[in-house]
Amino acid sequence: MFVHQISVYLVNAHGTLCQLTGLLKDHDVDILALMIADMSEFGIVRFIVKDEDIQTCLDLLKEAGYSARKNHVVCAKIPNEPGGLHRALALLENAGISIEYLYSFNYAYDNSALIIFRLTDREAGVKLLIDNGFKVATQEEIDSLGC
Amino acid sequence: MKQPKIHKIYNPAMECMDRSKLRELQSERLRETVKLEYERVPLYRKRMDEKGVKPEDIKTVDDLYKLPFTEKTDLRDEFPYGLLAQPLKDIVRIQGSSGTTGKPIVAGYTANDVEVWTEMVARALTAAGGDADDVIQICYGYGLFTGGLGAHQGAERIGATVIPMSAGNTERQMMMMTELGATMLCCTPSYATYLAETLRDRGLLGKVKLKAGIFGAEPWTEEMRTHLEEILDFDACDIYGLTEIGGPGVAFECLEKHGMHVNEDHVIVEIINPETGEPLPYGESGELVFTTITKTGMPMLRYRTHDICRLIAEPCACGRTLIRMSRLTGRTDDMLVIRGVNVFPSQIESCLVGLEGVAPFYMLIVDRVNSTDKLEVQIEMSEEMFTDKVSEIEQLRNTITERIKSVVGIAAKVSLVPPKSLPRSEGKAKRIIDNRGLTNK
Repeated sequence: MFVHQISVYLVNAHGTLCQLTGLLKDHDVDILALMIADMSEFGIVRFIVKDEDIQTCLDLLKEAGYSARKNHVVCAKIPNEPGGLHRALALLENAGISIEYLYSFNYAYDNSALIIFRLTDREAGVKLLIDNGFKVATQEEIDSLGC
Repeated sequence: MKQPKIHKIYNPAMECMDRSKLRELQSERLRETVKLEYERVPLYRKRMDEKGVKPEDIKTVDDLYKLPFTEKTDLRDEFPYGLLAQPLKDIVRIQGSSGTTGKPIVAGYTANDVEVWTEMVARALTAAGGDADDVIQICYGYGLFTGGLGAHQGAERIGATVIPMSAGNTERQMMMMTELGATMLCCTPSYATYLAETLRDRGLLGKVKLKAGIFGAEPWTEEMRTHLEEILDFDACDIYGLTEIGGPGVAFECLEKHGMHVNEDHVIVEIINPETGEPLPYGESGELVFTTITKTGMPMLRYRTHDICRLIAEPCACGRTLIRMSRLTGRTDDMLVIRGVNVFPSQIESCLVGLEGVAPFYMLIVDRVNSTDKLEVQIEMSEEMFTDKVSEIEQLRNTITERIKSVVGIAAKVSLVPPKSLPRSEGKAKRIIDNRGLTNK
Protein backbone atom coordinates (compact mmCIF):
# COMPACT_ATOMS: atom_id res chain seq x y z
CA MET A 1 0.00 0.00 0.00
CA PHE A 2 2.96 2.28 0.52
CA VAL A 3 6.06 3.07 -1.43
CA HIS A 4 9.54 3.88 -0.18
CA GLN A 5 10.88 7.37 -0.40
CA ILE A 6 14.35 8.65 0.42
CA SER A 7 14.85 12.13 1.91
CA VAL A 8 18.21 13.86 1.98
CA TYR A 9 19.29 17.04 3.74
CA LEU A 10 21.18 19.45 1.52
CA VAL A 11 22.62 22.87 2.20
CA ASN A 12 21.11 25.39 -0.18
CA ALA A 13 24.26 26.20 -2.11
CA HIS A 14 25.41 26.06 -5.69
CA GLY A 15 26.16 22.54 -6.90
CA THR A 16 24.90 20.47 -3.97
CA LEU A 17 22.02 18.88 -5.90
CA CYS A 18 24.25 18.11 -8.86
CA GLN A 19 26.67 16.40 -6.50
CA LEU A 20 23.86 14.21 -5.22
CA THR A 21 22.56 13.25 -8.68
CA GLY A 22 26.15 12.56 -9.74
CA LEU A 23 26.54 10.10 -6.92
CA LEU A 24 23.34 8.28 -7.94
CA LYS A 25 24.35 8.26 -11.61
CA ASP A 26 27.73 6.72 -10.81
CA HIS A 27 25.92 3.79 -9.24
CA ASP A 28 23.25 3.40 -11.95
CA VAL A 29 20.37 4.43 -9.74
CA ASP A 30 17.31 5.55 -11.69
CA ILE A 31 15.36 8.40 -10.08
CA LEU A 32 11.67 7.85 -10.78
CA ALA A 33 10.33 10.98 -9.11
CA LEU A 34 11.91 13.83 -7.21
CA MET A 35 10.89 16.96 -5.39
CA ILE A 36 12.77 19.59 -3.45
CA ALA A 37 11.60 21.57 -0.47
CA ASP A 38 13.78 24.63 -0.62
CA MET A 39 14.33 27.02 2.25
CA SER A 40 16.76 29.93 2.19
CA GLU A 41 19.61 28.00 3.76
CA PHE A 42 18.80 24.36 3.29
CA GLY A 43 16.67 22.03 1.27
CA ILE A 44 15.23 18.55 1.58
CA VAL A 45 15.38 16.43 -1.53
CA ARG A 46 12.84 13.64 -1.66
CA PHE A 47 12.93 10.99 -4.32
CA ILE A 48 11.64 7.60 -5.30
CA VAL A 49 13.80 4.80 -6.63
CA LYS A 50 13.14 1.14 -7.37
CA ASP A 51 12.99 -1.26 -4.46
CA GLU A 52 16.24 -2.94 -5.50
CA ASP A 53 18.07 0.40 -5.34
CA ILE A 54 16.89 1.58 -1.95
CA GLN A 55 19.48 -0.07 0.25
CA THR A 56 22.24 0.80 -2.21
CA CYS A 57 21.11 4.42 -2.09
CA LEU A 58 21.00 4.59 1.68
CA ASP A 59 24.45 3.01 2.00
CA LEU A 60 25.89 5.32 -0.64
CA LEU A 61 24.44 8.41 0.96
CA LYS A 62 25.62 7.48 4.41
CA GLU A 63 29.10 6.75 3.17
CA ALA A 64 29.23 10.05 1.31
CA GLY A 65 28.29 11.89 4.52
CA TYR A 66 24.66 12.84 3.84
CA SER A 67 21.90 12.86 6.41
CA ALA A 68 19.34 10.65 4.73
CA ARG A 69 16.25 8.81 5.78
CA LYS A 70 13.85 6.28 4.32
CA ASN A 71 10.14 6.64 4.90
CA HIS A 72 6.83 5.41 3.56
CA VAL A 73 4.51 7.52 1.50
CA VAL A 74 1.20 6.98 -0.25
CA CYS A 75 1.29 6.89 -4.02
CA ALA A 76 -2.26 7.42 -5.26
CA LYS A 77 -3.50 6.94 -8.78
CA ILE A 78 -5.46 10.07 -9.52
CA PRO A 79 -7.68 9.91 -12.61
CA ASN A 80 -6.51 12.14 -15.42
CA GLU A 81 -9.63 14.31 -15.52
CA PRO A 82 -10.71 17.73 -14.29
CA GLY A 83 -11.46 17.60 -10.56
CA GLY A 84 -9.63 14.28 -10.05
CA LEU A 85 -7.10 15.65 -7.61
CA HIS A 86 -9.66 17.89 -5.96
CA ARG A 87 -11.88 14.92 -5.11
CA ALA A 88 -8.99 13.19 -3.30
CA LEU A 89 -8.00 16.33 -1.44
CA ALA A 90 -11.58 17.10 -0.39
CA LEU A 91 -11.91 13.62 1.08
CA LEU A 92 -8.75 14.06 3.14
CA GLU A 93 -9.75 17.55 4.20
CA ASN A 94 -13.18 16.40 5.42
CA ALA A 95 -11.54 13.62 7.41
CA GLY A 96 -9.16 16.08 9.09
CA ILE A 97 -6.08 14.51 7.53
CA SER A 98 -3.48 17.05 6.50
CA ILE A 99 -1.01 16.88 3.68
CA GLU A 100 2.60 17.54 4.65
CA TYR A 101 3.53 17.70 0.98
CA LEU A 102 2.74 16.10 -2.35
CA TYR A 103 4.39 15.75 -5.72
CA SER A 104 3.85 13.79 -8.87
CA PHE A 105 5.61 11.26 -11.01
CA ASN A 106 6.50 12.06 -14.59
CA TYR A 107 4.75 8.85 -15.61
CA ALA A 108 1.10 8.19 -16.29
CA TYR A 109 -0.22 4.82 -15.14
CA ASP A 110 -3.60 3.23 -15.89
CA ASN A 111 -4.62 6.60 -17.39
CA SER A 112 -3.94 8.12 -13.97
CA ALA A 113 -1.43 10.54 -12.60
CA LEU A 114 0.76 9.08 -9.88
CA ILE A 115 0.72 11.46 -6.94
CA ILE A 116 2.91 10.99 -3.85
CA PHE A 117 1.27 12.08 -0.60
CA ARG A 118 2.90 12.54 2.75
CA LEU A 119 -0.02 12.61 5.18
CA THR A 120 -0.36 13.31 8.88
CA ASP A 121 -2.14 10.00 9.23
CA ARG A 122 -0.89 7.66 6.55
CA GLU A 123 -2.95 4.59 7.46
CA ALA A 124 -6.26 6.42 7.74
CA GLY A 125 -5.57 8.42 4.62
CA VAL A 126 -4.85 5.46 2.40
CA LYS A 127 -7.93 3.59 3.71
CA LEU A 128 -10.10 6.61 3.04
CA LEU A 129 -8.88 6.92 -0.54
CA ILE A 130 -9.34 3.22 -1.29
CA ASP A 131 -12.81 3.13 0.32
CA ASN A 132 -13.80 5.96 -1.99
CA GLY A 133 -12.72 4.28 -5.18
CA PHE A 134 -9.17 5.55 -5.55
CA LYS A 135 -6.38 3.15 -6.35
CA VAL A 136 -2.93 3.32 -4.85
CA ALA A 137 0.24 2.10 -6.51
CA THR A 138 2.28 -0.66 -4.91
CA GLN A 139 6.06 -0.75 -4.77
CA GLU A 140 5.96 -3.50 -7.46
CA GLU A 141 4.05 -1.24 -9.81
CA ILE A 142 6.57 1.55 -9.16
CA ASP A 143 9.41 -0.87 -9.87
CA SER A 144 7.99 -1.55 -13.33
CA LEU A 145 8.37 2.12 -14.25
CA GLY A 146 11.45 3.66 -15.78
CA CYS A 147 14.19 1.90 -17.63
CA MET B 1 39.17 67.34 18.54
CA LYS B 2 42.26 65.63 19.88
CA GLN B 3 43.43 67.12 23.17
CA PRO B 4 46.78 68.62 24.08
CA LYS B 5 48.62 65.98 26.09
CA ILE B 6 47.99 67.42 29.54
CA HIS B 7 47.89 64.70 32.17
CA LYS B 8 45.06 65.09 34.65
CA ILE B 9 45.11 62.82 37.68
CA TYR B 10 42.02 62.14 39.80
CA ASN B 11 43.74 60.95 42.97
CA PRO B 12 47.43 61.90 42.84
CA ALA B 13 48.06 60.70 46.41
CA MET B 14 47.24 57.15 45.33
CA GLU B 15 48.02 57.17 41.63
CA CYS B 16 51.48 58.74 42.05
CA MET B 17 52.45 57.17 45.36
CA ASP B 18 56.05 56.21 45.93
CA ARG B 19 56.27 52.54 45.00
CA SER B 20 57.78 51.37 48.29
CA LYS B 21 54.98 53.12 50.18
CA LEU B 22 52.48 51.58 47.77
CA ARG B 23 53.92 48.16 48.54
CA GLU B 24 53.48 48.74 52.26
CA LEU B 25 49.89 49.80 51.69
CA GLN B 26 49.26 46.74 49.54
CA SER B 27 50.75 44.44 52.15
CA GLU B 28 48.61 45.93 54.89
CA ARG B 29 45.45 45.65 52.81
CA LEU B 30 46.34 42.13 51.68
CA ARG B 31 46.65 40.98 55.30
CA GLU B 32 43.17 42.31 56.06
CA THR B 33 41.67 40.71 52.96
CA VAL B 34 43.23 37.31 53.64
CA LYS B 35 42.00 37.40 57.22
CA LEU B 36 38.50 38.30 56.03
CA GLU B 37 38.45 35.49 53.44
CA TYR B 38 39.73 32.92 55.92
CA GLU B 39 37.20 33.88 58.58
CA ARG B 40 34.14 34.39 56.37
CA VAL B 41 34.41 32.35 53.18
CA PRO B 42 34.38 28.55 53.62
CA LEU B 43 35.90 27.86 50.20
CA TYR B 44 38.95 30.03 50.92
CA ARG B 45 39.38 28.59 54.38
CA LYS B 46 39.27 25.09 52.90
CA ARG B 47 41.72 25.93 50.11
CA MET B 48 44.14 27.64 52.50
CA ASP B 49 43.94 24.77 54.97
CA GLU B 50 44.67 22.35 52.14
CA LYS B 51 47.79 24.34 51.27
CA GLY B 52 48.70 24.62 54.94
CA VAL B 53 48.57 28.43 54.87
CA LYS B 54 47.29 30.47 57.78
CA PRO B 55 46.35 34.15 57.52
CA GLU B 56 49.34 35.04 59.71
CA ASP B 57 51.66 33.46 57.11
CA ILE B 58 50.77 36.29 54.74
CA LYS B 59 52.78 39.26 55.91
CA THR B 60 53.66 41.12 52.73
CA VAL B 61 52.97 41.08 49.01
CA ASP B 62 55.97 38.72 48.73
CA ASP B 63 53.86 36.03 50.41
CA LEU B 64 51.15 36.24 47.77
CA TYR B 65 52.38 33.14 45.96
CA LYS B 66 51.46 31.03 49.01
CA LEU B 67 47.76 31.72 48.46
CA PRO B 68 45.43 29.51 46.41
CA PHE B 69 44.11 30.62 43.04
CA THR B 70 40.48 31.42 42.28
CA GLU B 71 38.88 30.32 39.01
CA LYS B 72 35.74 31.40 37.19
CA THR B 73 34.37 27.91 37.85
CA ASP B 74 34.57 28.67 41.59
CA LEU B 75 32.10 31.51 41.08
CA ARG B 76 29.83 29.16 39.17
CA ASP B 77 30.11 26.40 41.80
CA GLU B 78 29.50 28.82 44.66
CA PHE B 79 26.66 30.57 42.81
CA PRO B 80 25.07 32.77 43.95
CA TYR B 81 26.18 33.76 47.43
CA GLY B 82 28.82 31.19 48.45
CA LEU B 83 31.78 33.54 48.09
CA LEU B 84 30.26 36.50 49.91
CA ALA B 85 32.30 37.68 52.88
CA GLN B 86 29.45 39.83 54.22
CA PRO B 87 25.83 39.15 55.15
CA LEU B 88 23.36 39.89 52.39
CA LYS B 89 22.04 42.91 54.26
CA ASP B 90 25.36 44.63 53.64
CA ILE B 91 25.37 43.78 49.94
CA VAL B 92 23.90 46.66 47.96
CA ARG B 93 24.41 45.53 44.39
CA ILE B 94 24.60 42.41 42.24
CA GLN B 95 26.37 42.46 38.90
CA GLY B 96 26.95 39.48 36.70
CA SER B 97 28.31 38.05 33.53
CA SER B 98 28.19 34.81 31.63
CA GLY B 99 29.84 31.77 33.14
CA THR B 100 31.60 29.04 31.23
CA THR B 101 28.44 26.97 30.90
CA GLY B 102 24.76 27.77 30.98
CA LYS B 103 24.84 29.26 34.46
CA PRO B 104 25.84 32.92 34.89
CA ILE B 105 28.23 34.15 37.53
CA VAL B 106 27.33 36.95 39.88
CA ALA B 107 29.28 39.21 42.21
CA GLY B 108 27.97 41.00 45.30
CA TYR B 109 29.09 44.55 46.11
CA THR B 110 28.96 46.34 49.43
CA ALA B 111 28.56 50.12 49.47
CA ASN B 112 32.34 50.24 49.95
CA ASP B 113 32.87 48.10 46.83
CA VAL B 114 30.64 50.31 44.70
CA GLU B 115 32.64 53.27 46.00
CA VAL B 116 35.96 51.59 45.11
CA TRP B 117 34.71 50.76 41.64
CA THR B 118 33.33 54.25 41.11
CA GLU B 119 36.67 55.79 42.00
CA MET B 120 38.49 53.45 39.61
CA VAL B 121 36.27 54.58 36.72
CA ALA B 122 36.61 58.23 37.79
CA ARG B 123 40.40 57.83 37.55
CA ALA B 124 40.07 56.32 34.08
CA LEU B 125 37.82 59.11 32.81
CA THR B 126 40.12 61.75 34.28
CA ALA B 127 43.17 60.09 32.72
CA ALA B 128 41.46 60.34 29.32
CA GLY B 129 41.02 64.08 29.91
CA GLY B 130 37.54 64.07 31.46
CA ASP B 131 36.22 66.53 34.04
CA ALA B 132 33.05 68.32 35.16
CA ASP B 133 32.83 70.24 31.87
CA ASP B 134 32.35 67.08 29.86
CA VAL B 135 29.19 65.59 28.41
CA ILE B 136 29.67 61.83 28.54
CA GLN B 137 27.59 59.52 26.39
CA ILE B 138 27.44 55.97 27.68
CA CYS B 139 26.37 53.30 25.23
CA TYR B 140 27.39 50.26 27.18
CA GLY B 141 24.41 48.15 28.15
CA TYR B 142 22.96 49.01 31.57
CA GLY B 143 22.06 46.03 33.69
CA LEU B 144 23.87 43.04 35.13
CA PHE B 145 26.75 43.77 32.75
CA THR B 146 29.15 46.10 34.58
CA GLY B 147 29.86 48.36 31.58
CA GLY B 148 26.85 50.69 31.71
CA LEU B 149 26.51 51.30 35.43
CA GLY B 150 30.28 51.32 35.96
CA ALA B 151 30.90 54.08 33.43
CA HIS B 152 27.83 55.94 34.70
CA GLN B 153 28.98 56.03 38.33
CA GLY B 154 32.46 57.17 37.40
CA ALA B 155 31.18 59.87 35.07
CA GLU B 156 28.86 61.26 37.74
CA ARG B 157 31.72 61.14 40.24
CA ILE B 158 33.85 63.52 38.18
CA GLY B 159 30.83 65.79 37.89
CA ALA B 160 30.34 65.35 34.17
CA THR B 161 26.99 65.55 32.43
CA VAL B 162 25.95 61.96 31.79
CA ILE B 163 23.79 60.76 28.89
CA PRO B 164 22.82 57.21 29.90
CA MET B 165 21.96 55.88 26.45
CA SER B 166 22.64 52.19 27.07
CA ALA B 167 23.42 49.97 24.08
CA GLY B 168 21.93 49.89 20.61
CA ASN B 169 19.75 52.12 18.43
CA THR B 170 22.48 53.82 16.43
CA GLU B 171 20.15 56.45 14.93
CA ARG B 172 19.24 57.71 18.37
CA GLN B 173 22.86 57.51 19.57
CA MET B 174 23.97 59.72 16.67
CA MET B 175 21.16 62.19 17.17
CA MET B 176 21.90 62.59 20.89
CA MET B 177 25.64 62.73 20.35
CA THR B 178 25.43 65.55 17.80
CA GLU B 179 22.50 67.48 19.34
CA LEU B 180 23.69 67.29 22.96
CA GLY B 181 27.31 67.85 22.04
CA ALA B 182 28.81 64.78 23.72
CA THR B 183 32.53 65.28 24.38
CA MET B 184 33.30 61.77 25.61
CA LEU B 185 32.07 58.36 24.59
CA CYS B 186 32.03 55.10 26.56
CA CYS B 187 31.27 51.85 24.71
CA THR B 188 32.93 48.81 23.16
CA PRO B 189 35.63 49.58 20.56
CA SER B 190 33.71 47.71 17.87
CA TYR B 191 30.56 49.71 18.49
CA ALA B 192 32.61 52.92 18.55
CA THR B 193 33.97 52.00 15.12
CA TYR B 194 30.50 51.28 13.82
CA LEU B 195 29.23 54.60 15.18
CA ALA B 196 32.21 56.50 13.76
CA GLU B 197 31.83 54.97 10.31
CA THR B 198 28.10 55.60 10.26
CA LEU B 199 28.58 59.24 11.33
CA ARG B 200 31.14 59.64 8.57
CA ASP B 201 28.94 58.02 5.93
CA ARG B 202 26.06 60.30 6.88
CA GLY B 203 28.24 63.39 6.65
CA LEU B 204 27.68 64.17 10.34
CA LEU B 205 31.31 64.38 11.48
CA GLY B 206 31.19 68.20 11.40
CA LYS B 207 28.61 68.10 14.21
CA VAL B 208 30.59 65.73 16.45
CA LYS B 209 32.34 67.34 19.44
CA LEU B 210 34.06 64.28 20.91
CA LYS B 211 37.50 64.81 22.43
CA ALA B 212 37.99 61.34 23.89
CA GLY B 213 36.52 57.89 24.20
CA ILE B 214 37.06 55.08 26.67
CA PHE B 215 36.62 51.72 25.07
CA GLY B 216 36.65 48.35 26.73
CA ALA B 217 34.84 45.08 27.46
CA GLU B 218 36.49 43.43 24.47
CA PRO B 219 40.02 43.13 23.08
CA TRP B 220 41.07 45.54 20.35
CA THR B 221 44.18 46.50 18.44
CA GLU B 222 46.39 49.52 17.69
CA GLU B 223 45.08 49.40 14.11
CA MET B 224 41.54 49.87 15.42
CA ARG B 225 42.72 52.80 17.54
CA THR B 226 44.38 54.47 14.55
CA HIS B 227 41.27 53.94 12.43
CA LEU B 228 38.96 55.36 15.12
CA GLU B 229 41.17 58.37 15.84
CA GLU B 230 41.48 59.15 12.13
CA ILE B 231 37.73 59.27 11.68
CA LEU B 232 36.75 61.06 14.88
CA ASP B 233 39.91 63.15 15.51
CA PHE B 234 39.88 62.39 19.23
CA ASP B 235 41.77 60.32 21.82
CA ALA B 236 40.73 56.68 21.98
CA CYS B 237 41.76 55.11 25.29
CA ASP B 238 41.61 51.51 26.45
CA ILE B 239 40.04 50.39 29.71
CA TYR B 240 40.12 46.95 31.33
CA GLY B 241 37.97 45.29 33.90
CA LEU B 242 36.01 42.23 34.84
CA THR B 243 32.97 41.63 36.98
CA GLU B 244 34.83 39.27 39.31
CA ILE B 245 37.32 41.98 40.29
CA GLY B 246 35.01 44.97 40.22
CA GLY B 247 34.11 45.95 36.70
CA PRO B 248 35.63 48.36 34.19
CA GLY B 249 38.40 50.55 35.59
CA VAL B 250 40.61 47.85 37.11
CA ALA B 251 43.18 49.24 34.66
CA PHE B 252 43.03 52.23 32.31
CA GLU B 253 45.09 54.11 29.77
CA CYS B 254 46.34 57.66 30.21
CA LEU B 255 46.88 59.97 27.25
CA GLU B 256 50.32 58.41 26.70
CA LYS B 257 48.30 55.44 25.34
CA HIS B 258 50.99 52.97 26.12
CA GLY B 259 49.54 50.31 28.39
CA MET B 260 46.84 50.48 31.04
CA HIS B 261 47.64 51.63 34.59
CA VAL B 262 46.49 49.09 37.14
CA ASN B 263 44.79 50.56 40.22
CA GLU B 264 47.30 48.92 42.50
CA ASP B 265 46.02 50.46 45.70
CA HIS B 266 42.87 48.37 45.11
CA VAL B 267 44.24 45.25 43.43
CA ILE B 268 47.52 43.37 43.32
CA VAL B 269 48.43 42.24 39.85
CA GLU B 270 50.59 39.24 38.94
CA ILE B 271 51.63 37.54 35.75
CA ILE B 272 51.96 33.78 36.04
CA ASN B 273 53.00 30.92 33.87
CA PRO B 274 49.59 29.50 32.92
CA GLU B 275 50.94 25.94 32.85
CA THR B 276 52.73 25.83 36.18
CA GLY B 277 51.13 28.70 38.09
CA GLU B 278 54.60 30.10 38.88
CA PRO B 279 54.77 33.91 39.14
CA LEU B 280 56.77 35.53 36.31
CA PRO B 281 58.92 38.66 36.54
CA TYR B 282 57.69 42.01 35.19
CA GLY B 283 57.99 42.24 31.43
CA GLU B 284 57.33 38.60 30.71
CA SER B 285 54.22 37.52 28.93
CA GLY B 286 51.83 35.26 30.84
CA GLU B 287 48.43 34.98 32.47
CA LEU B 288 47.05 37.98 34.29
CA VAL B 289 46.02 37.34 37.92
CA PHE B 290 44.33 39.79 40.32
CA THR B 291 43.90 39.88 44.07
CA THR B 292 41.47 42.48 45.39
CA ILE B 293 42.63 44.26 48.54
CA THR B 294 39.89 46.79 49.27
CA LYS B 295 36.72 44.94 48.33
CA THR B 296 34.70 43.62 51.24
CA GLY B 297 31.60 42.01 49.66
CA MET B 298 33.21 39.37 47.51
CA PRO B 299 36.97 39.78 47.66
CA MET B 300 39.03 37.58 45.35
CA LEU B 301 42.39 35.97 46.05
CA ARG B 302 44.57 35.43 42.99
CA TYR B 303 41.78 35.38 40.45
CA ARG B 304 42.93 33.87 37.18
CA THR B 305 41.65 35.97 34.28
CA HIS B 306 43.01 33.65 31.56
CA ASP B 307 43.94 36.83 29.67
CA ILE B 308 47.51 36.91 28.40
CA CYS B 309 49.56 40.11 28.54
CA ARG B 310 52.70 41.51 30.17
CA LEU B 311 53.35 44.17 32.79
CA ILE B 312 55.28 47.34 32.05
CA ALA B 313 57.22 48.46 35.12
CA GLU B 314 59.03 51.45 33.59
CA PRO B 315 57.79 54.82 34.88
CA CYS B 316 55.15 56.49 32.71
CA ALA B 317 55.49 60.05 31.40
CA CYS B 318 52.08 60.89 32.89
CA GLY B 319 53.51 60.86 36.41
CA ARG B 320 51.53 57.90 37.69
CA THR B 321 53.59 55.29 39.47
CA LEU B 322 50.94 52.61 38.92
CA ILE B 323 52.26 49.73 36.87
CA ARG B 324 50.86 49.25 33.38
CA MET B 325 49.51 46.16 31.65
CA SER B 326 49.98 45.76 27.93
CA ARG B 327 47.19 45.12 25.46
CA LEU B 328 45.87 41.58 25.70
CA THR B 329 47.61 39.22 23.32
CA GLY B 330 45.38 36.21 23.77
CA ARG B 331 43.62 33.83 26.10
CA THR B 332 44.75 30.66 27.83
CA ASP B 333 41.29 29.20 27.30
CA ASP B 334 38.85 29.34 24.41
CA MET B 335 36.77 32.30 25.60
CA LEU B 336 35.57 34.69 22.91
CA VAL B 337 34.39 38.24 23.43
CA ILE B 338 31.56 39.01 21.06
CA ARG B 339 29.93 42.43 21.17
CA GLY B 340 31.36 42.83 24.65
CA VAL B 341 29.85 39.56 25.87
CA ASN B 342 32.03 36.69 27.03
CA VAL B 343 31.24 33.53 25.13
CA PHE B 344 32.61 30.05 25.82
CA PRO B 345 32.16 27.19 23.37
CA SER B 346 31.07 25.12 26.38
CA GLN B 347 28.05 27.43 26.78
CA ILE B 348 27.03 26.74 23.21
CA GLU B 349 27.53 23.06 23.83
CA SER B 350 25.19 23.20 26.80
CA CYS B 351 22.50 24.50 24.42
CA LEU B 352 22.88 21.45 22.20
CA VAL B 353 22.68 18.84 24.92
CA GLY B 354 19.30 17.15 24.97
CA LEU B 355 18.69 17.49 21.27
CA GLU B 356 17.74 14.37 19.36
CA GLY B 357 20.50 11.80 19.24
CA VAL B 358 24.06 12.30 20.37
CA ALA B 359 25.57 15.73 21.05
CA PRO B 360 26.26 17.06 17.59
CA PHE B 361 29.57 18.33 16.30
CA TYR B 362 29.64 22.11 16.11
CA MET B 363 31.82 25.08 15.29
CA LEU B 364 31.70 28.79 16.12
CA ILE B 365 32.54 31.22 13.37
CA VAL B 366 33.07 34.83 14.36
CA ASP B 367 33.33 37.62 11.88
CA ARG B 368 33.22 41.38 11.92
CA VAL B 369 30.87 42.83 9.33
CA ASN B 370 30.47 46.64 9.24
CA SER B 371 32.31 46.80 12.57
CA THR B 372 29.71 44.54 14.16
CA ASP B 373 30.54 41.09 15.45
CA LYS B 374 28.58 38.26 13.93
CA LEU B 375 28.45 34.84 15.48
CA GLU B 376 27.50 31.87 13.40
CA VAL B 377 27.05 28.48 15.01
CA GLN B 378 27.39 25.67 12.52
CA ILE B 379 25.98 22.39 13.72
CA GLU B 380 26.28 19.14 11.89
CA MET B 381 22.88 17.66 11.12
CA SER B 382 23.23 14.14 12.39
CA GLU B 383 21.09 11.34 11.03
CA GLU B 384 19.19 11.29 14.31
CA MET B 385 18.37 14.98 14.06
CA PHE B 386 17.28 14.83 10.43
CA THR B 387 13.60 14.64 9.69
CA ASP B 388 11.82 14.76 6.37
CA LYS B 389 9.72 17.74 7.41
CA VAL B 390 10.85 21.28 6.75
CA SER B 391 8.79 22.59 9.65
CA GLU B 392 10.55 20.28 12.11
CA ILE B 393 13.99 21.29 10.89
CA GLU B 394 13.04 24.95 11.12
CA GLN B 395 11.72 24.35 14.60
CA LEU B 396 14.92 22.62 15.65
CA ARG B 397 16.92 25.57 14.37
CA ASN B 398 14.68 28.05 16.16
CA THR B 399 14.95 26.10 19.40
CA ILE B 400 18.74 26.16 19.23
CA THR B 401 18.77 29.86 18.31
CA GLU B 402 16.54 30.71 21.26
CA ARG B 403 18.55 28.60 23.71
CA ILE B 404 21.77 30.31 22.65
CA LYS B 405 20.12 33.70 22.97
CA SER B 406 18.94 32.96 26.48
CA VAL B 407 22.10 31.22 27.73
CA VAL B 408 24.78 33.35 26.08
CA GLY B 409 22.79 36.54 25.76
CA ILE B 410 23.58 37.29 22.14
CA ALA B 411 21.88 36.46 18.88
CA ALA B 412 23.66 33.88 16.76
CA LYS B 413 22.94 32.63 13.31
CA VAL B 414 22.43 28.88 13.51
CA SER B 415 23.24 26.83 10.44
CA LEU B 416 22.64 23.12 10.18
CA VAL B 417 25.32 21.67 7.95
CA PRO B 418 25.74 18.17 6.55
CA PRO B 419 27.38 15.48 8.71
CA LYS B 420 31.19 15.38 8.71
CA SER B 421 31.40 18.64 6.79
CA LEU B 422 33.12 20.56 9.61
CA PRO B 423 36.89 20.27 9.82
CA ARG B 424 38.17 17.79 12.40
CA SER B 425 41.44 18.37 14.15
CA GLU B 426 43.58 15.81 15.85
CA GLY B 427 43.62 16.01 19.62
CA LYS B 428 41.59 18.79 21.22
CA ALA B 429 38.63 19.74 19.03
CA LYS B 430 39.00 23.13 17.47
CA ARG B 431 35.68 24.86 17.99
CA ILE B 432 36.37 28.40 16.88
CA ILE B 433 37.18 30.18 13.69
CA ASP B 434 37.73 33.86 14.48
CA ASN B 435 38.08 35.99 11.36
CA ARG B 436 38.18 39.34 13.16
CA GLY B 437 41.93 39.76 13.32
CA LEU B 438 41.96 41.01 16.92
CA THR B 439 45.17 39.36 18.03
CA ASN B 440 47.79 41.79 19.33
CA LYS B 441 51.45 40.94 19.02
